[in-house]
Amino acid sequence: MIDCRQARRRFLELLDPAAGQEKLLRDHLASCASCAEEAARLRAGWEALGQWEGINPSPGFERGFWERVSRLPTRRRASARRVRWLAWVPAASAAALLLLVGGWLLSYLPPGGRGADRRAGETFSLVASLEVLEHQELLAEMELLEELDLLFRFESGSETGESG
Amino acid sequence: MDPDAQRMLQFQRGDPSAFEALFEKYRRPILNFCYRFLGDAHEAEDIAQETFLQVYQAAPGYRPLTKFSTWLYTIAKNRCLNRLRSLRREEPAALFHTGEEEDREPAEPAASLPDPEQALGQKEMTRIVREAVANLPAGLRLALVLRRYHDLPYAEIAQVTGCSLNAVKLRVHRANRILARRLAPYLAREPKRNLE
Repeated sequence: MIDCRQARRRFLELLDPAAGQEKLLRDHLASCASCAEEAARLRAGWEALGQWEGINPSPGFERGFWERVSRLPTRRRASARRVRWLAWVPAASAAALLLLVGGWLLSYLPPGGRGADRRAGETFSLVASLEVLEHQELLAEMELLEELDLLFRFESGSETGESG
Repeated sequence: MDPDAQRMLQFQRGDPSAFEALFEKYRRPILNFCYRFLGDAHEAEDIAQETFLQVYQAAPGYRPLTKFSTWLYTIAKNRCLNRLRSLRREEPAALFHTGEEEDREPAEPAASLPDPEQALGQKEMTRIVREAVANLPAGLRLALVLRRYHDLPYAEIAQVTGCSLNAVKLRVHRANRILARRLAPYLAREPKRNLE
């Protein structure tokens, strides 16, 4: 059993079962007229709130919203796909910068050092190139170039009478 | 995953119909949340549009860290609070309470409430309820509106409001206690069906 003080702290459970377990509270109310009266008053208030019905959007609500969207700067209105592509720009810039810095560093190496570090320099360039290749746009362009190359070979093969 | 969050991710991948579906689903709930929180239909429409606009603009960086509805109601709540603050600076009596008076319980019912002795029609009772809600401090009103009218679970209200679970329950309880006291004179004259 719970006492009146505990019961009144838990009245919300009676009105709104989502707030907790109300069994103990109900047991108390069955035996306490004062708390039962207070609970009835709270329940009446809770139920009365239902009399305030909601509103529907005005006829111009949706149109107004899309007008506001159309007034956004173009870059903000860009489709999510395009915006996602833009996210590659910093990566591509970083890769290009890496290449430039790498090239610049190599050009400043002493002539003797160049020979000694040629293998390391080649490895560095290869890594930098691979980083660039990771960029999908460049990959796509390379695929396009390959396709053009194939087409060119095919056309030149046709002209020379070669097949497939 | 939350299906609405999935829709948002679809929109992020470039499917505009996913956003349209979210807009269609939530436009009325968000409008009514703003309406009951601000107390003005015109302001509510403006804020609801701003809320969806923010969602639209946030799509590229969206990450489903919480339920979509939690995120949406949080945006709407922040927009409403900002509007209340700016309106209060311009006109102190404008719209509803802003929340600076957070946990104080107003001692007297709003002066605009009619004499309980007068016969009350449905429309008048609606106005009384609306006025009574309007005079709640913002923190109590926010918790009450989200629970009573939008049926959000307490845990979700806690996320939207940034309060603990117990604090949310306490706020809803206190709001209801204030309202019950204010509405009691009018409810005594209401037909019994409203008490069940």
